[in-house]
Amino acid sequence: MSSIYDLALSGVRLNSYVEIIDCHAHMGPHGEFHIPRNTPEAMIRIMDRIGVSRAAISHCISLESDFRLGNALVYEAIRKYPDRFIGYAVLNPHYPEEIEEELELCFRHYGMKAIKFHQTLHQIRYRSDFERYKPVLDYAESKKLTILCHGTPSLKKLEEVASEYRNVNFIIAHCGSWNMREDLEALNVAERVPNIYVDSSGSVEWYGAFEKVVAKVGADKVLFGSDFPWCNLAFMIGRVLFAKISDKDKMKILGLNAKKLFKI
Amino acid sequence: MLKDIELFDCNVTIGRRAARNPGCAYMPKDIVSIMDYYRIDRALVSHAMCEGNGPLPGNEILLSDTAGYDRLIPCWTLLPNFTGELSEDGISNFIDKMLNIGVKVSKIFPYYHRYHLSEWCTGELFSKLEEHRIPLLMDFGITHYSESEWKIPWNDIYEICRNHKNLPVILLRVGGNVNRKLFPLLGRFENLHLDISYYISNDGLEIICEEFGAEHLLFGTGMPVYSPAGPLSMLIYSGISAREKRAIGSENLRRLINSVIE
Repeated sequence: MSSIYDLALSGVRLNSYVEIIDCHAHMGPHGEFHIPRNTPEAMIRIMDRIGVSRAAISHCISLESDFRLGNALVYEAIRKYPDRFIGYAVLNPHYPEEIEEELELCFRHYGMKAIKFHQTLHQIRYRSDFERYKPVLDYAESKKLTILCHGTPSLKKLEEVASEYRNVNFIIAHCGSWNMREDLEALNVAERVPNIYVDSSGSVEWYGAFEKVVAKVGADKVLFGSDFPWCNLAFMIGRVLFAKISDKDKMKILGLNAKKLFKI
Repeated sequence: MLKDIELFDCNVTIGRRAARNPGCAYMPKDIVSIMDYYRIDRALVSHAMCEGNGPLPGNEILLSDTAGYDRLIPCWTLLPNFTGELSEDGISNFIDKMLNIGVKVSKIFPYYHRYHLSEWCTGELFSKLEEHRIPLLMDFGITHYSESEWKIPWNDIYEICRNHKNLPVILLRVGGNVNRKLFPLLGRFENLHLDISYYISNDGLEIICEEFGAEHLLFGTGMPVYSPAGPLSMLIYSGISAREKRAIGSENLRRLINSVIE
């Protein structure tokens, strides 16, 4: 069989050779800039060009305005395309009175598989505000769920939380392309804490950085994430497809690790 | 797929930088080795010293450093010449010299070099480039896409394209978050182009090809600072025709270079 590098150079759809699950995708429009073709159908067409089997999605409406409406829209997508999308429940701690009901709705009725925190857009400070996630963390602990965390401020706090909630797997987003001369704290934390992982997203693609991320934290701790359609899926998967790492490691990153964390 | 498409990278630098990411190449032989891995046939290169210290002496060093590397095509960095930093002989003589030695593409760093792109500052330089149809690469030092909002003076780009309709303008490393400003310009100006090194808008290549034409896009990577993997993968897996991929891959840049009037 050809290597993933050779297959990518040839431009073939990759799903016949490797199962690809995008652990970090979105859906819907964004106020700050234009996100074209952000509907489920348009996204599936793009995924099919590359051969991405499934994408785990949270809705931009959940991140920027109404978290509950966004979750309902994700539910519509996963109900209509259950084999293509995996649902993230977005919980906004600024609405504590609605969290318990939304958790039940998302996991008992909607069939979501994991939780997404967006501390930046929800303006949650790690050190002083993280306690506001406690009801969600308690729920995730009881259900052994995975939580995708945007951003990397105060990794010390996340490390403390991950040590307390040992049944929860945390994915730190946007770690795929560190330039390796600035703050590596996220990678250090992922390296030493068993239930902390990183995803490959991050728009700035420093030369050679992805290989260094994999070498530092290990291929078992890295998941392919694109931030698509916020970013370009084909662009973001390139760093994995063309990385100078083994095909065995690429297969873990492209899908096997996500299957384990999402229990699919 | 790539066997049918020549790749001519319009956005490459050689030379040492003050800040270097670990493992980042800077020697021509190492750049060529990266090109081999990513199947890039040729590259338009400038010297990092030209950004860091201005055109002199980086342009001359670029020529000597790339001598013997047929796949590395030199591209000179320019400045408005009011301070005499470009040439003591004036802009016209400088451009004539540049063309005489076979350098047919120019590059500017208006953000790092701290000058205005208004006509009163760059008009003379751009008029001379326009006279010869010399392509002008514009590098605004964008690292993260959010900087595309404020580092690129969008109204100046409008004025340049309007005032110098025969000047091929190529924006480098434009982020994917600027469609609300980029699209009205692409709709108005045939002489406006961008490289795809960081244009990460979802289906962005497809939309530009459909709405404005593939001739506006050039293959570029930003290596060795940035990885060619993203732009290469995006071109390969884009939902555009093989003809459009060939145009973006190399033909558009080749056409611009071949249109230079010596």
